[in-house]
Amino acid sequence: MITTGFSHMAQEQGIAKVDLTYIYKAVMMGNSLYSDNWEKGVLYLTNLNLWFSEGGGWITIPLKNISMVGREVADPIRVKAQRTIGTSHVLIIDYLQPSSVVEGAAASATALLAGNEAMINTLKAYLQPMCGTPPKKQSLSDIDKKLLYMLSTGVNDPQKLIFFIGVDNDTLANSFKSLREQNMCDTSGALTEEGQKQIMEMM
Amino acid sequence: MTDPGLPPFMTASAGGPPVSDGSFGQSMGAFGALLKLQQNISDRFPKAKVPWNETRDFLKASTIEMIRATPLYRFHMDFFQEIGLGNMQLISYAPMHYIYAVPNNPVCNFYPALNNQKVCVATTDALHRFFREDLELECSVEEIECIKNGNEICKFKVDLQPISAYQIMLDEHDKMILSGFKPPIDENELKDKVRALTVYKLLENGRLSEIGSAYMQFASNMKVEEKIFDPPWKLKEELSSIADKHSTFGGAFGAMTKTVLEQQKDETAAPQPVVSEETQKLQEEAKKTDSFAELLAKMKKDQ
Repeated sequence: MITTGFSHMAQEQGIAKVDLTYIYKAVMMGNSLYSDNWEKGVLYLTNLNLWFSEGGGWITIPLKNISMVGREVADPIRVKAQRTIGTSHVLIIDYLQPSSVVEGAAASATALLAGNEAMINTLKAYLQPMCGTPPKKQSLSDIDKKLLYMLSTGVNDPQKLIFFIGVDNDTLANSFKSLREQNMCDTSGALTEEGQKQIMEMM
Repeated sequence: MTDPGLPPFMTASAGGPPVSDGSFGQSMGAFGALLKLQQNISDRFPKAKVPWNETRDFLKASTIEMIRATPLYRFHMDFFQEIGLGNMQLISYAPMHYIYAVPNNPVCNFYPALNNQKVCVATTDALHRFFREDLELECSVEEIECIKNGNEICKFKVDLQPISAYQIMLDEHDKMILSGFKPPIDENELKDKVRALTVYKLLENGRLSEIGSAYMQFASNMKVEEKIFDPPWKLKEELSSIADKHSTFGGAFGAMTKTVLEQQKDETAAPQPVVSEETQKLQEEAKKTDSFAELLAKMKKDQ
């Protein structure tokens, strides 16, 4: 259910106030960020909401509407943030908000918070338990690269790949799918010309 | 930009009853303390890179006692304590799998208002970052028990990615053994090496295992270069050995100053990054590229 922060005003307790740069509703497709509308402002974290200063007023993301905090930030997004606002430290917050199209329905949206590394990591470390994300960390961005390396040397037995890369079946299957979609290898795991070129560049 | 003033929750009915045990003041203080801890991590982790030969000794230690005796383990535990992550200890071990425990974990105190759940994201992320950036070991880290969840102690499971562990663990002599050659080492050392390679599933009954064979197929095509440098605990060790050698404070102080100055000179010659390698790489990429389109194309290529 989607609620606004105002309905809980009497119980709302401040936890932190930080200065940061943010995009309240970012347009993202896969690993690419299409929004450039970073806002410099103030963020209040309370036990119920994230409050963002915007123009002369405030907008909120109720914590109960947050579906994920701190999903892995792809390099192109970090590089774009570095170029636009001078920092590559970005926290991705996925949340639900009332759909503007269908009454009573919710649409997923993504906010990006950026600032200095310690502050972004503090927000992440604080928000994740508050929003129910278990403390777990695995580097997923390099798995495609590792898989491509292994395939390039002719190691293509799924069981061995699962062991070497230290992932479960599904993660390996997703990574393989991602390489296939990028036209790096064929269904048997043999590298395409594009995949060979990529390996040469990585080495 | 127009000043938005205070957010509504601070102006109307502010200071209402807390929704759980933690008070407003406690939570504000806790956030500040967590920020300080994260600042320590940001400042100190980039300067704590460990050379592979030390990580190799850590990886090849085959019992908890042997692991605890390695300089890397002692550094890791002291380092985490100095940063504010508590008195961590290794309590369980299997090759490439480690369980660390933190009694009275200070990180739990950062969440006065949360109960009945695991909360130690800061420790989980710090362990992951230490293994990944300072030891160059890819891994996954998970908090498996938490004081805030009713457990007696906080416990963290670290699972290394075998391919990255092998890359660092195997020295030239190990690779000779796996390639079927006898390395120029004495019998005892050879036995130790064969035992370690068997524990790590690369040898089976004295022969190359299927895993070993696949790894060698991979490794013979992927050359990795080992960087040689001093471990981050070297200066500390030198200073304590100077203190032990000199009987007077003046003598020890003079020798220590000289050592520190020499170290600083070395650091000037080869500056340590003040940001993580990943960040540095991204900053460089961002500077080098003229247009965003060009950058995107390059990133796409790099992936």
